[in-house]
Amino acid sequence: MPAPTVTPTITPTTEPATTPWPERYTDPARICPQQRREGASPDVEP
Amino acid sequence: MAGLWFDAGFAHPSATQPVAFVPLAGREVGSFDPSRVDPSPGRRLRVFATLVHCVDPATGAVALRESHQAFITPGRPLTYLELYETVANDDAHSAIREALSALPLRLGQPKPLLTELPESPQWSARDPDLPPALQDLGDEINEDIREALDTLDNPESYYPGIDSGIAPVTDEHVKLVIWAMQRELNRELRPQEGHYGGSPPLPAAPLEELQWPVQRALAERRRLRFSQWGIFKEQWEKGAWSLWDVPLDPEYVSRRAQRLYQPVK
Repeated sequence: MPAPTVTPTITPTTEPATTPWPERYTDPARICPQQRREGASPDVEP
Repeated sequence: MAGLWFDAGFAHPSATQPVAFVPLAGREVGSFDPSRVDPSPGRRLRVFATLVHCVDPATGAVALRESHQAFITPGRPLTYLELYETVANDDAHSAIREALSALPLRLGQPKPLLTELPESPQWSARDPDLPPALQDLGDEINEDIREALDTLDNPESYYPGIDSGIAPVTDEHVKLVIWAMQRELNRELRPQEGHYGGSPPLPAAPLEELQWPVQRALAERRRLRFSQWGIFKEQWEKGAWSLWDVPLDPEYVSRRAQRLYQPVK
């Protein structure tokens, strides 16, 4: 009977040299519609 | 008896039957949500469609979005383009035209307008946002932010600003715009890939780490986007904008819709 094995936990890297930005940071396009309208910051001059 | 409560003209397709895409110009007036991925063309038509809704499918009665009192009852459903042309040209609808010429630019609690970086900014649960009819404007600015972030990984990538057609943007204004954009990115952090409850949330993208020319280009693009919906400093100061200042631009499709739309096969 084979010995039980433990699956190693792999933590995603956050090394900028190897990880593209959508995996390091929140993608602005994924925020909700209301927040995308808020992101236009209409209290700040165009 | 199931199936008899709705009018045959508004029958829903079955769950297995694909829904054919109909552009707004040929689509009967219903309830248009510009935040859904919908590649219907027409810059002004998309705004107009968000400002109205059908209140009685049997008679085609239509009201302004914040109201249930119909301003037109044509006797049959109209398409968005038919309704638009009627409202734009018919003397009977001058009051509606006037209402659509003075729309609020900001929703939420009134707050002082910002012309410079606040010395000690106060975090708030909500800052002013654009009205839903200007969802495309918000989405275009969002797409510009997204494209700017590509330069974090590829510093040599081309991210042009705006050379002409907008009022010059000062360095101080660039800093204010980047601060304001960062304020909103920081507010709503989403877990990676939309998976809630398992993975930790990703941090907000650090806009201040963008190269200065990219930050400047982003602020210039934002000014251009507002102008593409007929919004300049004057409208911003008044807090009001007009549907009739939005260019017709009948071929316009939002970049978000272009990027995400997948036709039904």
